[in-house]
Amino acid sequence: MKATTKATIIVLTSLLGACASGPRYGGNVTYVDPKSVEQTANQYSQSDISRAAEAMVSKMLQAPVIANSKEVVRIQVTGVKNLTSEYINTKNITAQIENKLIESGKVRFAGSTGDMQAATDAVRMQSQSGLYDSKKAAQVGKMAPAQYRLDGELTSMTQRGEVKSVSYNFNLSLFDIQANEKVWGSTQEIRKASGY
Amino acid sequence: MSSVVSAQDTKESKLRRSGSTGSVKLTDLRAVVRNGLLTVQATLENDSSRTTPINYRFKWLDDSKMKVTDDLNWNPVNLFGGQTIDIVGVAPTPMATDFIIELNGSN
Repeated sequence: MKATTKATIIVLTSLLGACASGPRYGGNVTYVDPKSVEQTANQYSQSDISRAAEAMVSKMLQAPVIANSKEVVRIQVTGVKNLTSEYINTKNITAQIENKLIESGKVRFAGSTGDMQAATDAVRMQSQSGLYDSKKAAQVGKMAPAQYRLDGELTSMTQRGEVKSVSYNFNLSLFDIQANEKVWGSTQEIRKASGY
Repeated sequence: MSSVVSAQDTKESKLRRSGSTGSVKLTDLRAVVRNGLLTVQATLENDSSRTTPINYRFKWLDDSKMKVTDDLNWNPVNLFGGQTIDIVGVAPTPMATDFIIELNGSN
């Protein structure tokens, strides 16, 4: 066999191999509208998370401390505790709430305590390294503090019988940091049943 | 209906239906700007004697009828026979000056 023929066979074989591990078509795979109502399981679903986030944002924007404020309200999120028996990524919930509230133009979020190291590193780099234009560089001691703290919890209760019913309660609370007073709170309830 | 919705708009023109929603009537529609955000309340009535599952969502638009946010999630609700409910939507941004209510019959 000539060298060129051997080389052609090797190239074709490797191309066929690559095709075998590429995307597959057909089968039972289909795209689903992520905004649709998910009824595949009676557990807390992605659409429940998104719907709860939207409902909470709508309620928060009507809270007097935000609605009546003439300035943009600064909030720090401490997190949502998952007190259910299921694994639920509550960071996803708070991220959706933060994004939608920022979109309203009425609220801004202070960096979380967990992000503080990265934030201080960035400020020190600009203010102390001597690499940046001192007139434009961020300065130490100029971070804007949050006026309010947002925290919450997700709880669930299951009733088993002929019909399995699961109730989820998503609670959010807003506290005045200075006064340590709760200034707003709301509960979003979701109940799912299966086995009819 | 307040001035935020044109007087020429009929109630039904603010509704976009899909699926089987014939038994669900829009009996009242109100819109006000509250604290800079458009707030809408729609009253829906199930004309049928049977429970009708529907999904609804608000679509927020600017003066040019362009969407100002991504599509929101559908909200499921079971309307009992003859039941009337009020659904309320608060625009997520002050850019929203108009709206459409999407109604989907899930059966």
